[in-house]
Amino acid sequence: MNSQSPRDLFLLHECVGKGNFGDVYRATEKSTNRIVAVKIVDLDESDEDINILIQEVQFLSQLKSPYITGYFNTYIQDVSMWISMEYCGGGSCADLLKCHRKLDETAVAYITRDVLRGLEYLHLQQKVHRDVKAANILLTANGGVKLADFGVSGQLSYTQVKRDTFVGTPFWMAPEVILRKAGYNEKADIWSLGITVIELAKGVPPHVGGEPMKVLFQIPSMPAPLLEDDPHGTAYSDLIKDFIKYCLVKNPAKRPSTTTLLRHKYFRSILRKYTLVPLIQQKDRWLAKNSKISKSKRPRLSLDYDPTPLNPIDWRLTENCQSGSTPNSGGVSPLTPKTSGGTSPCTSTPPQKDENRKEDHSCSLSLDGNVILACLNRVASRAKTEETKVSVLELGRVLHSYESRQPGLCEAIAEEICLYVHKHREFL
Amino acid sequence: MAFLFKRNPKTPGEVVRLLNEQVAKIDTTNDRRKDEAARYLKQMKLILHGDDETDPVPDQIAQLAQEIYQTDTLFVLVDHLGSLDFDSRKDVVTLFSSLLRRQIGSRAPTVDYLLSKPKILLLLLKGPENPEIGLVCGQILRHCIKFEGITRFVLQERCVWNCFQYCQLSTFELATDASNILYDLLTVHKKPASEFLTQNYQYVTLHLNRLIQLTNYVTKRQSVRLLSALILERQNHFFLNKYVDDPNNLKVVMLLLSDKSKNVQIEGFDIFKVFVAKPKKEKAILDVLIKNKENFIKFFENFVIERSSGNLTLIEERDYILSEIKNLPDIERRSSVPLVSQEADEQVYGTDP
Repeated sequence: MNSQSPRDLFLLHECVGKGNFGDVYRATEKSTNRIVAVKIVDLDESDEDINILIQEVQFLSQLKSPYITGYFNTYIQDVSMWISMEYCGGGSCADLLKCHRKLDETAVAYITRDVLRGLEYLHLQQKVHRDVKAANILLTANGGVKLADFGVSGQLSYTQVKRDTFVGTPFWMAPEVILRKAGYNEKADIWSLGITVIELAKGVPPHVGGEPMKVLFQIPSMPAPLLEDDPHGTAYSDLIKDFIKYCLVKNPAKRPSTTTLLRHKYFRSILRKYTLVPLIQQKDRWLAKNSKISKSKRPRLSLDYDPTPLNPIDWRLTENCQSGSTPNSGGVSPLTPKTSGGTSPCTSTPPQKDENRKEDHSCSLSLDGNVILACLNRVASRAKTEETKVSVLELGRVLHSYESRQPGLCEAIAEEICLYVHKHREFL
Repeated sequence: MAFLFKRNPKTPGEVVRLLNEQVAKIDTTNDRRKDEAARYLKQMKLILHGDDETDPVPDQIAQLAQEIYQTDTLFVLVDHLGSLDFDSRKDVVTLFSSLLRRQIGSRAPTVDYLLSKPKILLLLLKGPENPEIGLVCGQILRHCIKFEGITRFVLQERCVWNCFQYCQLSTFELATDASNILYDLLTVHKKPASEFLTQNYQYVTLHLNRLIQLTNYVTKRQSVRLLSALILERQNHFFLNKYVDDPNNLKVVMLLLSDKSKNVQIEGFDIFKVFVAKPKKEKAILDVLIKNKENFIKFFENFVIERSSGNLTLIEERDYILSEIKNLPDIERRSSVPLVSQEADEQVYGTDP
């Protein structure tokens, strides 16, 4: 295979994201001088069958659509795999939400339409994305919308019509994915898209304050969420509400396809010259001003950044749902039981390291500095009485709401704790 | 339903004929024929699979298939794969897979057809030589070799050996795909695979050992995985016996044990244990084992297995192998009954077949 070392081919810049299976870097491809995104996956670390990763890459290389992040090439360096892809300089839609809190309906319609086009392309080839959410919608510097992160996307064949695995992120999960009754198909993406539209318009997906485990049970049994007018603020148009209603049909067989949805009136109002560029630039200025973030170890917000700290809990839930329950990891708290990548003293004892190696690995990938929330979560799981637990969780929820207003807050607290501990050690 | 007929007035036969015409005349200067070809391929897909509003009609499918066989459409398509547009190529993959699955009684007419027109399969086998279409050819080929008859045919072709070369291509997707195709060819249909391995023991091990010793981690992992599968398959006992009697193979596997990657070590161990567990070992094998006895003991005492799944058996196996090695004599000793050497009967090849 390739004799050229990717180390010689690329000049790596800052880490721009932590995706499934590996970190993503902004890089310059030396031969062409173009900026690319390079995802580096440690193959020896992963317990995952190496063939699954190979399949992912082969699948990526067979996609060509303006609405999907493009794939360039893959190289092997020692035991790691370097995948070079199109670089999206505009960050993710989750980044946009961090700055703007919520997006206006035109922006939402514009993004939704292009995501639908990307999904239409995928679905035409019997591919299911399985993890549609704002954090996985990337933007180019000139306002292009691209569906990204196929780390867990599956491939349907004509014979095997439905997937039967449990992947996704709880709040965005379709009822049939949770119930796992008859497997699921590409219609699951339509549901997740509906939730994403709510997320873009409101700033958060439905149920966001709830406990993931509970939400997981609620989604199939409760009526589908609706986009409701904010009591002291935004009133949403009937068109967007109607569009969401179509996406969030609980019976997947009755949920419309991408092609049908693209004909929805909701998209007729989009002007041809509309562009997301001003929103992206505003966000970049906002990020630049927020020196706390740019000075931190992550030079900018990760592509994968999720405004809620609850993001990767699916891994644990998978485990729990399958193997009954483990008392400690129970996922009963609204805070992600993340373990960190070594930025704080708490991280030296990740829970059930051996038992759940894969899960912990994936959790640590998207810690995003929420060490404090992770610690609180661990405290909650140690609580002896229900009352203590509720209090700790409430504290976490409050902290989280401040964190989303003041990004970097938790990280700053963690830094202070680190300093404190170090000082303390010297005295000992 | 009347509107459907208006939209799609062509019979399956007509669609196939029109497709053939367009594809045969495709040229690089004009995209019109490419677009037309893409359109007809989509129509064929619609006939085969239906869509949200229509179900496929068996009669139409039969007509379509018949016309495709009669006009050599599959050959025309594979031959012009590089001139079709990116997404049309994938439609060709779908077309092959749907046609291959069609059965009339116990017969698979597309399999029979492909076997009667070997040039199609040969073109597919050479796919990786054109990077643009290599992966698509590989996908089609993999659908084909799901059928024993086709696997048997492919294994008898000289160009199957090229797959070992393709595993070293610089394009990651092509190299890994070639490796997966080899795996399927040599493991899915046990009978033709085992016959092939018996006839070509020497060559297969030569090629695999070469691939295993490459520095590329992925090539190494994939070839070790294939070798493991070949050795552990009961039908391949002839291959196994030849393999574990050759000290050269043992040396290659010992290198795997000392690889810096834990996964390679563990996979290497899976093969190594077969050498040690064999009751009557060749003298040459015993020599190597005895010579390295101390090394092995040191190695296995530090061989920590931390993989979460199935490590219990792995640990038991390690302890068993360690005790076997400890039982080896310290000084060289002749093995009791040397196996009859079969080398004289073996056909000796040059460098590459």
